[in-house]
Amino acid sequence: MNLLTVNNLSVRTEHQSGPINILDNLNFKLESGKSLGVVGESGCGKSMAAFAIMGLLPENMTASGEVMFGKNLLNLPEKELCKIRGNRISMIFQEPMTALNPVQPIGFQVAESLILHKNLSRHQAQRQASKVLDRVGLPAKKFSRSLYPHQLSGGQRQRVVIAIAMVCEPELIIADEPTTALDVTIQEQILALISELVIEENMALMLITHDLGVVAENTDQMLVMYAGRIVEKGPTNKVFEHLAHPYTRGLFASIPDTEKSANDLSRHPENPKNSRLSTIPGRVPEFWERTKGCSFADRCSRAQAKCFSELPDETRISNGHSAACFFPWEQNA
Amino acid sequence: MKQEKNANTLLQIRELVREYILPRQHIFIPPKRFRALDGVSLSLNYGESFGIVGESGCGKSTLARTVLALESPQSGEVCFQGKVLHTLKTKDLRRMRRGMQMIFQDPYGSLDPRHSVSQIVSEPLTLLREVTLKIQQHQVAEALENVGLSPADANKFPHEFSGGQRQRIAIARALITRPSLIVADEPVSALDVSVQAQVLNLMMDLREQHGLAYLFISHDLSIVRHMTTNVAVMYAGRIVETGPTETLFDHAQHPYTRALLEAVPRPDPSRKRTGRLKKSASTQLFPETEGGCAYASRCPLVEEKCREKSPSLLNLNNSSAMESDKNPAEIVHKVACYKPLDSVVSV
Repeated sequence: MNLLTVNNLSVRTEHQSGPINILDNLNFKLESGKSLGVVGESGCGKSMAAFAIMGLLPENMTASGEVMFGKNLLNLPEKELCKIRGNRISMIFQEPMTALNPVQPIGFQVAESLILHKNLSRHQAQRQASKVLDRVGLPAKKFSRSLYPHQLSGGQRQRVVIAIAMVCEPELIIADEPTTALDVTIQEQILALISELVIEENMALMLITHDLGVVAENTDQMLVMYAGRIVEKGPTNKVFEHLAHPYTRGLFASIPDTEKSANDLSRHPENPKNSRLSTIPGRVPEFWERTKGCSFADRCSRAQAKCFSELPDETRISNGHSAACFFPWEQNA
Repeated sequence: MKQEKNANTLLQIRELVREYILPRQHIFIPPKRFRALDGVSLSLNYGESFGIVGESGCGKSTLARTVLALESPQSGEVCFQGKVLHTLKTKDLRRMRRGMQMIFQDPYGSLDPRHSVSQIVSEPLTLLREVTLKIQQHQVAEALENVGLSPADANKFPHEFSGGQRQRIAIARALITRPSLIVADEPVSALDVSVQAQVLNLMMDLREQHGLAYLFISHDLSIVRHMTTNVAVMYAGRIVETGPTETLFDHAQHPYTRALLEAVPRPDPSRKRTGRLKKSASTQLFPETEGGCAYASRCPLVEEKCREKSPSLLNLNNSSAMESDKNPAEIVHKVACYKPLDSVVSV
């Protein structure tokens, strides 16, 4: 059963040059208990998609289309949305220091949504919150519930944010770059924790990141976004097996590999003299610079006249895997 | 002196210690000290790039600042082109500084928004007061072309550029004094992946063209592997493992290096994380230790010995130790651990 179905989700805003689409016709589904990775560079709209689903868009932006989560979330009045937010859908934010309240002890911050959503008394909520904090690796013996966020390290703060997100046992957790502010070893712990909780509680996870490695290791399904559109989507292992969209391929090739050396011929067969990374020329267009054709066309090596004038539809690559491109790559070389 | 023995050595750091005094907890108790650098030694040849990896708080940036003489060490010395930096007079130090420049992490914070690109790039020259304005402008144009910008960009302001272009401006500013050493403190971590590769390629090209040496500081192991010939892994102010990049990455000996390498997510879906890692016991990054190895409390292979005395940085096998005595500039694989992992056993 699909827990979340997003149909033709667009987000518009006014700009000096007229109305522009920040997000353009997003379509995707997420089953309960599954995880979906959303990858893209900064400014591609991946965080906006999360905000649109949560109904947290800035005032000057309007969303259209459908976000089906039982009901269409886009049509719900604010009062109804408040009952869902933090209760049935919750969010893990990127920067734990700004996501937490600096003047409230962590125990209360976790308990707060229980008091709000589950009608528990303050005392009951605190007890429940303490259990959840144990779960995320902050045992009461070592971490008093009356500690304040500034007394914790970055990784510990992120654990508190995770505790807040899962305390009401939501059906869907949206994690927006949960580990970008953390070191690699802490990142590993936090991602392992999120995956573990999601599986144990049978929650669905939408993991937003710019790191292809994080998506590969932690998700079942994935979307690649570029300039407000989905350019490639499908089951994670199928997408990595066969990178079809030129953008995904470029993104993949521009990461230096820890396992293979720069001298490894198999990775850069066209450039055996090592040292150079393959790059995507140019830069991501600003949202007011987007053209009516494929927004990747002017950086793409495979682009033809058609790409500049028409918007490509989803091309089926294999079962469940599609790319929005007229000339997708056939198979991995 | 050592540097006379080897004319190739550009930068030699010996037993560098930098301590910070923490806020006083009580008026009758002397304030605690925090050792950001605890006996760091390394050497760098002309035209070489040396990587420093480690997690935040391990002292990488303090090292960078001390190398540039922006901080003075409590003990130890930094030798740049044969001169000990911290004993120089201000005037001489200023002259030395033209040989070393820095590229900062955040291209938004490191460029003055009210200065034009030409002002930003020429500022090091203005401070040196050696050339006329006309020559300066000429050199600015040259530096901008070097980094792939157009000389016409000189009159624009930083806000007109994207992140990658701003980092190019920062690189142009570093290049203009024709330095022999560039200290790059996380130069691409604020950039997007596709732009990151462009800037890294540019840095590689410039190294070849100008014979630059880089001290390349990063937390991203894959970038360090790609960019450097030698590397040092730092943990809690000490170098725990150092050696030629390829050898170190392929045969990591220190448990910490191994943990770092394993923690890097790879774009390979068959490597699913779930269940691979148990809830980690230690959440404290750099626990306080009394004398022993700083990594002991996180180390899976810890022994009694590790908690008592901190291991020193030793060569892995004796044959390479002999070679290194002959040639002090050659970097051999060294590790500070009583129980280095055997590279043969590893997968």
